[in-house]
Amino acid sequence: MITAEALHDQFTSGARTPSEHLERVLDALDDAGRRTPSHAAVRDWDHSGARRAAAAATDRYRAGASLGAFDGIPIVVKDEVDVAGLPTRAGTMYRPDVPAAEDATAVARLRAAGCVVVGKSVQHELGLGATGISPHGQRTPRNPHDPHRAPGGSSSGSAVAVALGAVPVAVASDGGGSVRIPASLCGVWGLKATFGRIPNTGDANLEGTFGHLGPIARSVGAVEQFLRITAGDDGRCPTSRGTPPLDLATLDAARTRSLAGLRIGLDPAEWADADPTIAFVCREALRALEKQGATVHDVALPSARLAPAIGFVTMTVEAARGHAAELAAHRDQMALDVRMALGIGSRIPAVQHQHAQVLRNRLRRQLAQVLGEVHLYASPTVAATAPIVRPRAERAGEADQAVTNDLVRYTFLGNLTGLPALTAPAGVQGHRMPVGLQLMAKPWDEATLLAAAYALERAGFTPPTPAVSVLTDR
Amino acid sequence: MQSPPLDDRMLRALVRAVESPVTAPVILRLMYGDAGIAAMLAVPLEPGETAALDERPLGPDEVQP
Repeated sequence: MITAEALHDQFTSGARTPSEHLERVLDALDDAGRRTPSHAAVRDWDHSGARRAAAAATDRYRAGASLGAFDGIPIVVKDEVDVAGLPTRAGTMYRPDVPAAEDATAVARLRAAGCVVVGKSVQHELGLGATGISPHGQRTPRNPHDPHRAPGGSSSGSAVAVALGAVPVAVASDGGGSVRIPASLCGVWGLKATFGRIPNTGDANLEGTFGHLGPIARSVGAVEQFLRITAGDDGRCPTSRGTPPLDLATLDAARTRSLAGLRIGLDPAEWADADPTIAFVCREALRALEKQGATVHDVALPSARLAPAIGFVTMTVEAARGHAAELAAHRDQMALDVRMALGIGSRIPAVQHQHAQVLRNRLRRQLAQVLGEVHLYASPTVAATAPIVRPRAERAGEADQAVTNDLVRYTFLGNLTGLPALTAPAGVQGHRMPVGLQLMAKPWDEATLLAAAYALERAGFTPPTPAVSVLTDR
Repeated sequence: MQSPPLDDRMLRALVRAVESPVTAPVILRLMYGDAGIAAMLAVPLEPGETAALDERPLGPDEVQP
């Protein structure tokens, strides 16, 4: 399926125009939504805006005045992220159909780089879930690798649109793994950059100490381009204020950087919690990095096993505070799993929340020590295969805590520490479901993550072909 | 030990119970076990150990070269 780089080459050569390609994308996404079970990745469309943007990009390419690698590239944007002219409902069914007045900073920057916004993608309600199962009238976009399984969440539609081949890159966000979990379960790339690297302006759901905007993509090049375009203080986002600029020279070198001397750490006790076939596939991916010069070392991160519980306490309390008014007004219109999470967050005693924050700091200190010994810390992205969508979960919400535990087992670590974390398509399990390898780096060192990702891509680690694809590379 | 998956009726009852100040503590204990929170809260804190004063991530100066 086509990558952003290949599309840019075709637009540049004139083999196809952004306008011609957009019509294929619109048909493909519409077709995906009509299937049974549904793969409906888009909730709200902007046909006319997308056609205008694609026509402008077509004119620029014809005039030899392309804006760059993302000019004319179609994208979808997670529902909770503001897109001017479209409603921001964050996966709810009760928020009014009122269009956002302006684009989120990241969306505005992507548009300025020539991206064509096709529409808003389906997500887990309020971002408070890892399955991507959407009850009420909103249909769950099933996993393209197995229509009986969930796509992962909360950025479910963004991951499905990319995995189906409809768009090469999508805007997503991550408060506990919501970029990395669906990217991993759908077999594509996902990046949660360092906390504050990409401004959250225009995503009210990301207030708090956890939230990150980031890309889900079919290629490492698209992840890198997204980062280059969207990173940097916008003067409006408190978490981005005063953050260091991207080191462009290091980023420029990432694509061809040698892995000689690169030290990767893994904690065997952590890996023991993953499904053995997932751990095996991830270890094989690390072997591919070893063949290119990296070395893998055992490290100890004893508090990592506490990360899901620390994260659950912190996230539910922050979400309960942020959504208190909505919970009071719309509790009967919320999925039961979301209502349960907000209910728990409302009741957690302050002393227990503080206990979690002290342990969060202990975790940060331990990870700082580990990253003094190695350049990257590796784990599986999730601990289990994408869950089957049970009919009653699709009616009311998936509330099986065991399912959630397996999905967030390794991802909360990145949110609790704010460190950059990337999921790579590491291969497939025996029954053809994708497996993601998670790599984490030192603060602001996304370049080393990308260097390892490019090395994996060179070694053939690319998104596996799904059972359902709607747009092939023709 | 993990609780078994819940049917719709039981789940609705649990949600209502967690939203009531009277019954919430009981439900929290149940959910705490399933989510590993009870185990996390049982981890002893060391004298002088505090929460981070900054929500930002680890700074480069905190990572030993």
